[in-house]
Amino acid sequence: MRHLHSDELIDLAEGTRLESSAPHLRSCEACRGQLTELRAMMSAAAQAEVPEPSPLFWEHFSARVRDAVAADGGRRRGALFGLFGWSSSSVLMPLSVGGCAAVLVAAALMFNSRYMPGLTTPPSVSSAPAASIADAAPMAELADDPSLDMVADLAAQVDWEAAGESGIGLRAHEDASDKAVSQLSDGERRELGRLLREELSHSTN
Amino acid sequence: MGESLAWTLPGTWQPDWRPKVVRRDTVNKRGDLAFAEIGEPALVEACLSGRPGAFDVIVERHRRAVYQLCYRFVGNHEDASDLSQDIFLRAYRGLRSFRGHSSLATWLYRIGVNVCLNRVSVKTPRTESIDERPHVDTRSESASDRMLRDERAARVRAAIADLPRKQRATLILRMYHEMSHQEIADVLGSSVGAVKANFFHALGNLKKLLGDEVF
Repeated sequence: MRHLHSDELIDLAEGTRLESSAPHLRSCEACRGQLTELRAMMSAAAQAEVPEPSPLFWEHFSARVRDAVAADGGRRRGALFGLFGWSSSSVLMPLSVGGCAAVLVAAALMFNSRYMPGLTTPPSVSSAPAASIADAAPMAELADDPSLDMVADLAAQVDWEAAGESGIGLRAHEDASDKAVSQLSDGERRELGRLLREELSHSTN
Repeated sequence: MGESLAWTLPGTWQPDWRPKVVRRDTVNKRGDLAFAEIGEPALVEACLSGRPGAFDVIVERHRRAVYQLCYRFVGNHEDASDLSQDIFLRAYRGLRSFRGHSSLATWLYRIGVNVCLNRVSVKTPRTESIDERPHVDTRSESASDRMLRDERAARVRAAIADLPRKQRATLILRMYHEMSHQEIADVLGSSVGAVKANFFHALGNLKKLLGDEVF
């Protein structure tokens, strides 16, 4: 004699399967007992309503979520774009392009400094240990960093249509570059700014 | 007792066990009337395009169901409130990934279950004491009936909060959020068979935890 499986009992308990389709029930007291217990537990669970919080709670809750979303949005914008003093979400697209520009400018400058005559000094790589990078200044201090302003200015001057036509294909990768920039830690951004400043000083000497 | 005895009679039982999630939040009180009546896809689009107030409407439409989901997971108001806020924050961050293949509620439940399961795994649920339970407005009941009902409900909620994580998630989604076995399987990343097995074991464990005290 095969007893009913758990899924069969659940179907019977929920009423999605008729008891008449399980003749075993008529002859098996154990399965009948299990079915009864399942239904009793469903009934008990169904009666356990969640207590309704006060109406004030919902007002406060919505306000809390609103504040949390606003704070989160502010932090994210700050992490992405606070260095450049932009804050409006309506400029997200130009900002993401700006992020690409910063990376492009850095790459171009590094290329120039390596291959321009008279510039034999290789770009110095930071010797700062990882711990010191991790302990770098907070974002508020970085916002005052003039080298990052310079990066912003350079990014704004990039002709993106020309860049797109030249086959760089940045528009197809805006999200990716956006993410790449957003995933830099504060210390990494600081380090990027220092490297850019260093490279720019090489190229202008 | 009489009710459960009636179920022993073959063919007499009707599937009336499923409670409804109470959804009273249909009106935005912040003047966002333009959003109050629009459908989910348009509302999500409005959020993504940065229209102020659009996400508030989503929160107001779903906050009670999300809170109830969390409450059943953790068994107390304070943690349920924090988890609910966390779920909406994550939803806001991930709204761009919402494809509309499921309802917004199901998508929120998916986030909610993950948040709750993660939280529960690192924190022992603190179920509410009798004194801190929020007031339930049941003016038509006698005081003794209400007290008895509240105590039973609190015991059941505490027992549910003590179930193993997947069993708890399955039972909550099936019993209180009207999700099909397939939807639950999608949320939990398992199969329909596994969901039914989890549900079966959840009810069996509930019986062990409660004994005869709620009958």
